[in-house]
Amino acid sequence: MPEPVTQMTDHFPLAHFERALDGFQPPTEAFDPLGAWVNAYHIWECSQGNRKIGALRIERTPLSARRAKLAVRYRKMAAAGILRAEMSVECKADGLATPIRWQAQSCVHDTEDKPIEDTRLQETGEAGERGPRVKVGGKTARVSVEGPFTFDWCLFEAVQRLPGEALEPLAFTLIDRLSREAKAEQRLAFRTAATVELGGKRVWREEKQTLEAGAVYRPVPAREGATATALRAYNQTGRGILPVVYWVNEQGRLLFALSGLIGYVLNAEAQA
Amino acid sequence: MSANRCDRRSFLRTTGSALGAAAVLTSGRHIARAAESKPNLLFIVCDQMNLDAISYLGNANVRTPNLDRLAQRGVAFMESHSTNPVCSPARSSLFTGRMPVETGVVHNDLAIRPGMPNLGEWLRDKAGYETVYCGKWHLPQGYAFAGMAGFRALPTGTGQGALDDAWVARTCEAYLRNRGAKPEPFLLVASFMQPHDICYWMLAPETLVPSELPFPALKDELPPLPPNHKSFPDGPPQVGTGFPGFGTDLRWRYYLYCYYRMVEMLDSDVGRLLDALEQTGLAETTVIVFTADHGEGAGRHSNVQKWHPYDESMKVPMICACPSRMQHGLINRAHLVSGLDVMSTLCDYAGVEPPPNARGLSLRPLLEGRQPGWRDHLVCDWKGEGKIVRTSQYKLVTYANEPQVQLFDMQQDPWEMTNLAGDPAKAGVIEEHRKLLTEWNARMEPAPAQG
Repeated sequence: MPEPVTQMTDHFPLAHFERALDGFQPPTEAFDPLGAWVNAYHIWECSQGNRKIGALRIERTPLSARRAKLAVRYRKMAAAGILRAEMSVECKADGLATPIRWQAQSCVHDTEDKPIEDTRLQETGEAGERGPRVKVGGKTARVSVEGPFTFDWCLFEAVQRLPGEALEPLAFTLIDRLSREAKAEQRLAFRTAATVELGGKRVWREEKQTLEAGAVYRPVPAREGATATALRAYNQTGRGILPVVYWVNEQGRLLFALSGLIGYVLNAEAQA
Repeated sequence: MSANRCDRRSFLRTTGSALGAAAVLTSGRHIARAAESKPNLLFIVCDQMNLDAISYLGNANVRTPNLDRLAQRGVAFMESHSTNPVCSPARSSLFTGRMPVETGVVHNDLAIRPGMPNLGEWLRDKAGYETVYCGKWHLPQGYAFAGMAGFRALPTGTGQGALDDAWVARTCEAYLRNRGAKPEPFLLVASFMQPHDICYWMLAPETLVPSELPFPALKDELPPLPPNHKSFPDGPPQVGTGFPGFGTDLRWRYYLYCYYRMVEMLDSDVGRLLDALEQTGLAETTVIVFTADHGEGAGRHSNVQKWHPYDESMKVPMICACPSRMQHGLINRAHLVSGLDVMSTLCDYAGVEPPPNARGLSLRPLLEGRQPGWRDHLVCDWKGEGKIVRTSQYKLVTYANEPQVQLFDMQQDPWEMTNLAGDPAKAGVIEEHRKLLTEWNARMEPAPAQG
């Protein structure tokens, strides 16, 4: 029996991001999570309104069957400037895309997109037997982690290779957004598989309901022009983060990473 | 007033949970006075944080290793109050040392009264500091911008702590690392949004706090509800009966779970600043002040947001640290402190008098182990709807255009569950507190109303 087609409003947290997903076009091209690819995301902030506030671009280059390089570019608008960051990570092709070595830099730009030089920060790092070591400003410091660790942006790659319902929950420490502060007790686990109508535009349809007193019609949300898309979702919970739900399609491609008010939505036109 | 005057009970009611013995240990040693050169100043402001949302202060629902280490290096005040539990008014006090009625910022999105110097202007012009600001401002512009009065802006910030704060921290870190040797000291303001993001949870309760727990695996990790969750003390209509949008205990507890994760986000960003100070050799000598503009309902009295005269809105963290100058690991439960005191304290360390008519007191004697004469009461506004007079034992809440008041015995009833105003035996207490309020109001220099 085919899976029932569900609405975004049936699923947490897709319901909260429904407006940000208006017009979303599920990708149709072939995708190999272990191959070379580029994923670009618009960053949405969905509080009182819904606004695109930046972009994230991740490019994967396989180095071998066990390793890959991720080139990450990040851009976020600020009230009076632009934040730009870049990261290059060599990582394992394991369940967490565990970082091996990396380099990163960030800089605030003014409203004319000129860099403000004393906001520039560069760092390099590598995984060691006793945890990651990061060199910044000529000084090296060890980051205290318990067990496996990874970066948030590495997880964008890793979740595409996870086995769905067969996933045994992964426990790890998170180091996010070029931080050097470890966030403990992270857990990545399978959430659900569902076929969901994505994209299109929200409309209201009348649904007939027969009661003893007669038929009534009640409005139910639907999406016009939407595409039924088979999805798998994974949950990430832990210290120092709001829970994240990653939604991947049948080919494993990460379409959405949604957490609290912030959503990353796949869009080939997103410019980081 | 002795530092031992508040007992364990009053401390527990402030922290709201069991307290680790280590948290109350005080080093007891006095710190040798550092050289009287002007220290660097790091002022960390966060948004909507409860005083007790720190693991070092006994809260088992949150883990804040970086705020813990900051507190271990300095002094944490347990009777710390916002001047007004609304963002802009409270911030106007933090940055001027004046009450909101004087700054003219009596509600959000107003500017500080023309001619009233802010902290940046004062320390730049009077003490020769390099003054730098990064993050939320809200007086009235939302975020640091080129041309802001008194500060050079590092323009990072857009609105959501979950998106911005890591970059505010990283930008401040970059400033600290890149600054190099300069003759003048710095005042760096790192103004974070978190845990303010929780504000939006009440605006979309159906999608952000659904009726079914969205992460069932968290069921055993959800914080308990506070003891006064269902308490609605007598009062005029403005007090309200809490937020009706969640309905079930489970939803409230998930709301609290989210709030504490936001606090942990903030903690991580504070950690980045502390690490940067350590790695640049500035940690021992930089004076750090950490506080918030106001608190958060956090389910107490079924409240969300701020806006309330209760302690969940009024009380904020106030942690000061500078290992070469201040006592270590002291939790001060005796002295009433206010957001007004930041200006006077930083001016004191900078070696200049605060601006004329600054209403605050310098915390420096308390931080350095001296026993100064201290205020026996303080006054807070709450929104534009009333005033609060707080003494060591009582809290009187008055309401504009409303004869009814609330009186709480903060020692016997720390969760503010019983309004004693109707008790004839307390008439004298109310009268005394009203008199304090009248005297306080007479000292104010109200700003003209802004359009």
